[in-house]
Amino acid sequence: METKKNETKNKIENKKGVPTLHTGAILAQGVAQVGCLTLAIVLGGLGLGLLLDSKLETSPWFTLGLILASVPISLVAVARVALSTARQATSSQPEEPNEGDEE
Amino acid sequence: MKKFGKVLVAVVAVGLLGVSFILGPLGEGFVVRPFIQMPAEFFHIGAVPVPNSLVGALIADLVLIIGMAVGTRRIRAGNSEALVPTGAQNFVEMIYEFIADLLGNILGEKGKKMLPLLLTFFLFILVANWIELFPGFDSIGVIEHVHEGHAGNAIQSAGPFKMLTNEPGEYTLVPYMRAAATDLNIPLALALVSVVMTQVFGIQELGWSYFSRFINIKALTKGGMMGIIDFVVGLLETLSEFIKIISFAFRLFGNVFAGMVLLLVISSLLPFMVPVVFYFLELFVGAVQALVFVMLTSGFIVVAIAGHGDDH
Repeated sequence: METKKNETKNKIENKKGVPTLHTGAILAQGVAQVGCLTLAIVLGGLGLGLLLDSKLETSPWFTLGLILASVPISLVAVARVALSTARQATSSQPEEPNEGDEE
Repeated sequence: MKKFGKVLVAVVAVGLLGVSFILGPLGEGFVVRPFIQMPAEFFHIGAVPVPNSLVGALIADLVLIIGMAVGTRRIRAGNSEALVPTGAQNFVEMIYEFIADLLGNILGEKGKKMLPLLLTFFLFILVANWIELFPGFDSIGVIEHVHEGHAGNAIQSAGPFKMLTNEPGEYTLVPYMRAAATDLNIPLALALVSVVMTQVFGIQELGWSYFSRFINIKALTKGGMMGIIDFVVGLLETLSEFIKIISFAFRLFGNVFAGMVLLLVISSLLPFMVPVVFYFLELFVGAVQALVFVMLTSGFIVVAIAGHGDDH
């Protein structure tokens, strides 16, 4: 009970229909991750491909293969992060305050 | 008959893929390797140097202005038939409703006030990113002598035009058009507008007490260890506002620039069929980046208008 009270206290309730600071922070964090994920995965694939090609002298097959593989991987990863952020943001929404819960 | 069509499409696709491999990795030297430069290239109109990313941004603006003018024509004319949307108006209303609903969920009632700014961000970034996928971007331009110390290509005539060949030479291509966000200046300008407007909305909502989130004198006068910590947290908040500018600008720039490089490299390695996959990825990345910019801005606005110290 006490934990729940503290949780509610940590969130900044908005009396004019604006979501909480907590929700805003979760959203910003998740969206920032989504924004960089595709880039990180594709560049990771490219870097690893170039490295393997130069070590194994197989240019450009590893580079091509890993770049191609990075496309579906990045799409799936973005979808997963976006869904998990949406779930967190939804669960962090404050409950409708009851009449007697004002103070 | 349908089966024959499918087989024909499959044969053409496999054929193109085969040609792609022969021209690309298996037949080194058939395709011109791209020359990629991070800053925008300049070409000259008379004596005026024009950056090609500016041309990309102006085309995106033009597309948006014409598209919106056509899409809202009947609404602006006060036509009662506009209540039943048709054609381009459907499309404009669909985008408007999507962003309005999104902002409604994040910002609640206050989303209406921020809608013009955030919808402009979304549409501009989306169109500026997607327009890069049209043929002619990064590939049509002026052929100039390369700077000293740089590798160039030879040229050959193709009717009234000239084109680069894969032979070494002393020429390079300066494209007329390049995606706006591949020049760091444009994402930086958008980031500055976003962060400044976040402060403006914060001040409008909380008045001058908004600045107590940065310089928390009240916490200092309260005294004690917690007061000092609160004051230092305020200083870190100030720093974070500057970091936001950098993160906004580099996230958009990095994604769009990497997309451009990826398309150019893949098109030079495997010129047919395979680039389609990456065009699809770039469509996705372009839309995601526009959405990310809008959602991050609205997330930061939520944080700004929620105020500081309300939880004490």
